[in-house]
Amino acid sequence: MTMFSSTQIPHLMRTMVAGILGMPENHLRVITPEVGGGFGSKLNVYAEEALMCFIAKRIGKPVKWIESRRENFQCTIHGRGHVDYYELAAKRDGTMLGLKLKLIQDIGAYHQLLTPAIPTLSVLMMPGLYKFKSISADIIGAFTNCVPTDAYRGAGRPEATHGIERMVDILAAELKMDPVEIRLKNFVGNDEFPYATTTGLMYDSGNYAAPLHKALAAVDYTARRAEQVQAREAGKLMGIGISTYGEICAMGPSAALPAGGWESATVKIEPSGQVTVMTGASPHGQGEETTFAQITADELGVGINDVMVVHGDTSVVQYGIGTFGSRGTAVGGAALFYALQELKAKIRKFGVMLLGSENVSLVGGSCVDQSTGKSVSFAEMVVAAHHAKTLPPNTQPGLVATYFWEPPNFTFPFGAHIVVTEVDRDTGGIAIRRYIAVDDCGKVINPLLVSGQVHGGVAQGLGQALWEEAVYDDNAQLVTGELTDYALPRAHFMPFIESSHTETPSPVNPLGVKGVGEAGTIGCSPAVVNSVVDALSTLGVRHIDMPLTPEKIWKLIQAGGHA
Amino acid sequence: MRRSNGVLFMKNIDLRLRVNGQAKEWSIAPGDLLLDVLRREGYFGVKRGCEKGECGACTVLVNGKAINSCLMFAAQAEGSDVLTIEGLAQGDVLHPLQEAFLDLGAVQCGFCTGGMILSAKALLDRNPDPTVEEVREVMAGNYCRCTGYEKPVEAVLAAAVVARAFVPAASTVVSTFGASPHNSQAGHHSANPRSAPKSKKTDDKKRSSVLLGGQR
Repeated sequence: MTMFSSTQIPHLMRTMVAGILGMPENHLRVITPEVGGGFGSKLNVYAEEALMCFIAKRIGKPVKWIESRRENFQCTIHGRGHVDYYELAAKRDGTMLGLKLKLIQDIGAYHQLLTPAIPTLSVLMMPGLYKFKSISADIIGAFTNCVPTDAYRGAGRPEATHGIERMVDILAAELKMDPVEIRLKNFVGNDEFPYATTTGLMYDSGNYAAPLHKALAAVDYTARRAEQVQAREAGKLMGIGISTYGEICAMGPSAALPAGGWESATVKIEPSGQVTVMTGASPHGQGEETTFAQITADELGVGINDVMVVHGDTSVVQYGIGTFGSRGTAVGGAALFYALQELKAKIRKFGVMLLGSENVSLVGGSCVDQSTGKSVSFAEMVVAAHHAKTLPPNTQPGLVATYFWEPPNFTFPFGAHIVVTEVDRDTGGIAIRRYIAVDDCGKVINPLLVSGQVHGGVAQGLGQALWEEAVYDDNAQLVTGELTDYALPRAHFMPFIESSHTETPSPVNPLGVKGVGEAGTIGCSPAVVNSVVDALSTLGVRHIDMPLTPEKIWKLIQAGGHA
Repeated sequence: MRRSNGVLFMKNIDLRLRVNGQAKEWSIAPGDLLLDVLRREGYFGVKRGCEKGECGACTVLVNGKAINSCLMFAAQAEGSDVLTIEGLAQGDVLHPLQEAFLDLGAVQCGFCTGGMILSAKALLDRNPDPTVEEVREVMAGNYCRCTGYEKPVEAVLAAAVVARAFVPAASTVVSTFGASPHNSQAGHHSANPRSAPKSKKTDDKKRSSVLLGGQR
């Protein structure tokens, strides 16, 4: 049986569907063609996926099923769905001491694959980048008549970040402190890593003030505050909002995941010298075909065009976990790196054999005898390994290596987003004047792909902050069940995003990378809401729930700031 | 007798049109959507996104005008020139918009890309020097969940510069830029889908199936 499905997890899909149908796992082949965006909704095994296999088996003919857009809205998963109650304890000087959270999670009508894990991630990340002596959290899962909730870009971290970053701003307003000052005062210090949080995590590395300072410089914070004073005198509602977010990526050590958190890579050097990489991570738009080719080219000294990256076919690729939780490069890339080290060690053996010297090293693909300066090329060693006329001792012919890498920890990227807004008193409309995003995702392998991830993430964060909402009527019918009714960001809604980076390598993996797929979404929504609350603070506004629709803002202004 | 969109029709009709410059004659049901017919005939770059005219993934050019093919009966295209994303490149030579989308990383999952590029082509054909606001306004008809629109908008503006530099104001319905000489002068890359610079820390994205927005 061959199953084509648009999924982030081809191998897990195969295991689960084979299990559901009671068929041998090796009789089922799952192929994930160009997937389209995933964002968590394809990190699931839906009933239809098993049903189509069942029907095909039953009638002995190919079956094709395409969901409608409405079915997609109603029968997959939704994100977020929190009602959070926070209490924060702090000293008068702004030092934060304790944080208490009651989190009510709208589970929806039933569990999907990872539903309970999402609020759990929120609680793990609730301290954000700050030091707390005490943390207390209760999660209440509420089954409702709504669409189930599960992983959606950020999956628990945007919720946690929104909570803590709103609370920090509320505290700053309460103490009449600058929101920058209070953040700098409470950050985990650069000399405190690895840092054990009160929620039981071990933050790997960080320099939390660096992106904040960079973002402040980019926006010219002092000048913006001065401008705000003038704007207020002129009767304008201008706001400056900051979020300094932390996230947890590279999902993750297997102890923390239900079905393994490692990732796999196989590297094959063909007799021609071309390289095939098979990755168990199943990228779907993130661009690992490029990133992994870069890593391979760099390690082996071959051209990037000599590398072919293959994924998403369970009959071709060794077992893998998939792409989600910003793990593709941070876990899958690390697996690839270690597979490449094994191959390099083997290539070196052929170099030793051909040069007749032990004193050799690999330089840009060639093997060089350090004492004589003689060298053999990559091609010569590859041919020697495949033709196998003579072999080094205890060495098999061929050049293939497979590595399954178990990460020792998560990674913890961070960053600072600053948003300048202006609210229209008459319409409640919000104009974004500036959007600064400074993200630290560890080592950046491909700047173009990383900025693309940030842009897309920010767009989704903006959508959540300003427009997007799953609306149900009084009979629990989903009103926003089509793209005509659900307010996604469009090109002309989006501000120009001023994106830059700081680079603090992760010690968790040999590449020093942390992951960036979800950063934009996580950093965005509190920065936007903080900015709009700041704009309306002269009216006495302290908090507004998302989304900040013009109707909601207009009503608030009409009521003189009192909801 | 065939079923189309839940309605039974007694009789098929003949549809004659040009797709990507080639004359076609297809037997269709009167209620068939242009989207359905194009996909049935193998133009998989035309994507079914929402079937409500909201997402723009099914955008094609009909007589040079960008339309949602999910909102148009195929029969209405009788005698028309239809351009799908498959017809934009001239053999191995990519259109400046395709080049720019690849060079600037404006393609992520690729699902919306075909429609986006065709909307942009329609814009550049009638306005070779658009402002960023005009580009954003036109691209507003194409939903993209991956890119945040920043790089696509940048790519359209970049393509406009290239197109203006190498193609005089001439404009035809099906292909404005045609086999422009830009490719030989585009510096570090050629139209070969497998050619990208050979250094590691580059900004280049490999060209695989993303060219046509994942042709499936």
